[in-house]
Amino acid sequence: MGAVFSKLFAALIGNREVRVLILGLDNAGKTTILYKLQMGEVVTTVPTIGFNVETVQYKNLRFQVWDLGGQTSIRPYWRCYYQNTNAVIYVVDSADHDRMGISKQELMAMLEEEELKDAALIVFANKQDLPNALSCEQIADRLGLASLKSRQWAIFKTSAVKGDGLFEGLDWLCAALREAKN
Amino acid sequence: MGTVTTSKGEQFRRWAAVRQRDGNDRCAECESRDTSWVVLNYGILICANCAGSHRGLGTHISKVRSTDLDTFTDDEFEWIESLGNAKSNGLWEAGLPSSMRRPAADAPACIRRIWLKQKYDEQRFTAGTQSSVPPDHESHRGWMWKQGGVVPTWRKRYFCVDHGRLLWFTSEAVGDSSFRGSMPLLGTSLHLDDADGRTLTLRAPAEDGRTVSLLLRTVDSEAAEEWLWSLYQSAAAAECMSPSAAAPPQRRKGFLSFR
Repeated sequence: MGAVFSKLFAALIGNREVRVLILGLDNAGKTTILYKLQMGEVVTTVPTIGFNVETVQYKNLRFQVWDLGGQTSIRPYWRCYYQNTNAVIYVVDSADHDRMGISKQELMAMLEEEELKDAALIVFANKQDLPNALSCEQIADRLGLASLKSRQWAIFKTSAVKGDGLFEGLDWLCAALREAKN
Repeated sequence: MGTVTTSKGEQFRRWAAVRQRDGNDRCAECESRDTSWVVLNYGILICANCAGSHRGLGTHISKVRSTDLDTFTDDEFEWIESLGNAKSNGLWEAGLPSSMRRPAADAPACIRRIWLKQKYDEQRFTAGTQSSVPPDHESHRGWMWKQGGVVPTWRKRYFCVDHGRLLWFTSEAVGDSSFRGSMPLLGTSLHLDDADGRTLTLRAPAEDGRTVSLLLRTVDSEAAEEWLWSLYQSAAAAECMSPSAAAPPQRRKGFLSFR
C-alpha cells in the first residue's frame, strides 16, 4: 500500500528522475548543449573523450543527462549507456552537409537497439546560427525520420551558443513523458 | 573516398611516421607537445585545446578529427602526409607580421579563438595580404569603459597599449594631466566574458601577493577581440624583452606565460 501511495505521490508531484542521453557525431555540439541546459552558460569545450553527466532540474522533473563522446571509435560504446534510458537527444550539426549520411547511419543503428525501443527521440538540428545550416525539414528528410514507426519523436532547430530551441525540446519531452505514463 | 585503414596498429604506426615530419611534433597553432588531433582540410596536427577552438569555427572552415579515436582513408592520410604543419603554416602565415606571435601553449581560449578566426576565417596572414605592417598592437588606442575600484561605476577612459603596459587617461590628449593609471601586462591573465562578448577582465599579481583586477567594457565584441589581441601581443613582446627572459618563465596556472 505504501509503495502504491509513494508511486501515486511521485506521479502527482513528478519528482522521478528522467534518464536522457545526448548522442550524435563529434562536433555536433553535445557538450555545449549539456552545459547550456545545466548552467545557462556557453562553456569553452575541448572534444569529449568519455562522457559528461549532469542533473538538470526543469518543470518539476529531474533529468539525469549523459553527454557521450562522438568520435568514431567511441560511438560503439554508446550502447553501454542505453539501459533504462527514457529519451535520446540526437544532435546534428546542421551545417555539416558532408556527414549527414554518417549521422543517419549512427542514428538508425542506435534506434534498432532493443534497450531503446521505448525511448523518446528528440533531434536537435543544431548550429542554426551558421550561414549554411540546413532547415529542420531538410534534416528530417536526410535522416529519414519519416520512416520511424512506433516511436515518439520530434525535431527542433537549435543554436546551443544562443540557447535557442533547447528548452522547447525539453517542453516537448515533458509532455511526451506524461503521455507515455498514461 | 579511398579505402579505410582498418587496423588500429597500422593507423598508429602511420601517425607515428607523420609526427616525425617537419613541424609535426608540435601543435601547428600553439606549439604544445600534444599533436593528437588533426584538421583534415589544412593537413595539420594540433593539440586538444586548439582542436576545441578549431571546432568552434564550424565545419565549413575546419574539419577536426582525432588521430586516436577516428579512422582515416588512404586519401586523407596521403593528403596530411603531403602537407603537415610546416608547409601548411607556410601558406596560412606567409604574410604574418614578424612582430606577431602565435598563442602560447597555455593561452586562454579567447586568444586561441581570435587567432584562428584571423588566420583561417578572415585569412589575414596569407601571402600578399600584409606587406610590412608595424607592430600595430603597440599603437592600439581607444575609448573603453572602466569599472571604478572604490565606487563600482563605469567610467569612460582613453586607453593606450604601450610596450607591455596598459595606460588610461581622461582624454585623447595623452599627457601627465590626463593620466589616471596603468597596469603591467606581463603575467596578467586575460578573460573575455562570453555572455556579452564585450567585457574584459585583466588580473595581475600585485607585489603584496594579492591580485589586482581591471574590468573593462568595449562598444562591441569586435572591439573586445581587437583589444584582447593587442594586449596579448604586447605582453608577449614584453616577455621577450624582459631581463628575466633568459631564465625559465614562472608558470602560474591560468596566467599568461610565454616562450
